[in-house]
Amino acid sequence: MKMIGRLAGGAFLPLVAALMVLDLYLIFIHAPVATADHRFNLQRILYFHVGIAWVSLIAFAVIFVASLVYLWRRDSRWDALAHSAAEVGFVFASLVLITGSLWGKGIWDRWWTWEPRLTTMLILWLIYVAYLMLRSFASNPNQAARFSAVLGIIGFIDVPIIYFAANWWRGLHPEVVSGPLADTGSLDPTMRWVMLFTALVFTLLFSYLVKERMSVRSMEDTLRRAKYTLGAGLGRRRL
Amino acid sequence: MPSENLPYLFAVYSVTWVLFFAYVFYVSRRQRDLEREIKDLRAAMKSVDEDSSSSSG
Repeated sequence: MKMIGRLAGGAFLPLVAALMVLDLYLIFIHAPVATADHRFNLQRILYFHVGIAWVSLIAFAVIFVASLVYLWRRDSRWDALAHSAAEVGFVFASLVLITGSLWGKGIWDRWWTWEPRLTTMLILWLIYVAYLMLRSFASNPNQAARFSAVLGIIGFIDVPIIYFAANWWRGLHPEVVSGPLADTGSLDPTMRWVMLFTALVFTLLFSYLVKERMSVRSMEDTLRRAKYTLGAGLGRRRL
Repeated sequence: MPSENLPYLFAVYSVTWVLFFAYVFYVSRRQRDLEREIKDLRAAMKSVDEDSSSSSG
């Protein structure tokens, strides 16, 4: 069973890499060019931008669930999951802002605008920063886990607001193109499934990165415990 | 599309890959550092054990 798990783990990264190559083919060769408006090839940015944005929201949903379970059961594995998802989610959230800014410059000729969805996404990025700072600066690991779990639960309020922002307050940002609020006729069917495929590939990449980060976190915990034991042992010897 | 907008498309795909590779590099380097630290710590624990056994014997 362990061997199957190892084989599956070893095959995961090549699988994600192969799917990513296929995804690039779909985005640049297979997906049609939006000729109906002035966007043309520049709309190919949206495949990556939407896929990455989807994962940055999913990552916070993982933090939310893991934080709730941690506070309920006080099992450090859930805290490790929340912490790892936060670090990887921060990378994705940063990329949402960068790719969105590049899209904005190309289409609207401005890097940033205080538009509802952009502003709520910036707030999510700041919550990610606060979460990671809390973990870095807290001297007591148990206290850091508790406080960051509370922040992970409260911060999740921003996630649905980001999703609904484009429909609640009309701004420059395009309306929702996937999920329950999406208008089915708003996007070409090929473009839609390429966008969903891209979101799936990024979700798999996120899973892989979280798994790797959790193994690092497990090593950090082992090391901290070993140092504590060694320190206690040396202390006893001195006495 | 005005041709001068194509660099934004190029920039999005480049920045995304650079950031992902940078993060993977950071995680793998951290993993290597921790492995080295665990190895050093094991050696230190071994020497503490040897010291305590020689002093008690």
